[in-house]
Amino acid sequence: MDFARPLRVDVEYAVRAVVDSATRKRGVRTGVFDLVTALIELIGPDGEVHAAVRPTYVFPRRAEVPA
Amino acid sequence: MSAAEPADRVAAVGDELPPFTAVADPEHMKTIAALLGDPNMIHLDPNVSAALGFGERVVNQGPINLGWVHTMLVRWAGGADRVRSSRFRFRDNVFGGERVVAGGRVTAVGSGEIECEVWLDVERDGVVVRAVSGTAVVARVGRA
Repeated sequence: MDFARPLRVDVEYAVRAVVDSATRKRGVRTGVFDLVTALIELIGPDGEVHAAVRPTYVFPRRAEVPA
Repeated sequence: MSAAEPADRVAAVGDELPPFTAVADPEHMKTIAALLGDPNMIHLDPNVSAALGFGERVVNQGPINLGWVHTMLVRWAGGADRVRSSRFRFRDNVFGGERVVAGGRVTAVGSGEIECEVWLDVERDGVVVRAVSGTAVVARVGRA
């Protein structure tokens, strides 16, 4: 999480989200899985990004791809 | 610097941040589930969490775990506006009724920012389990 400005009560923020990256990996226990990182930004009334978060999700692909 | 002094006093590498303790309350999980619109029943129904292999207790939401670490940082830094960034990794779950301790340690001190190692530990069956680990950057002065 990155805060360019403090988030304020009663301020309306727009939310913008994109897939930042997607990487296929193979683990010993998990088998094939994808690491997908999203970039989610909170945009203030001034049009600037006030905060951003990049959560990374793990998607096991055992059903689709033999390990 | 002692652990009780705020971040805008002199901070030194190795300083421990004052710990913040909390208990994972299943009632709070219901509130957060409603606020987040989170339909995952592992946070609400221990039968579901057990059926999915999590054990007999509900699973605390990850954002609550991160919130405890942020609360610890905010108390030490002197205000929510002083926390500039954080990076977290979920290492283990926190279950309903468990006691957690959020803590941190100063790793670098710059002219305007302080870098910290942060964590959330769970006391489970007499063993300390690290549920969250990460880093954070706080400002030495307010930006409000």
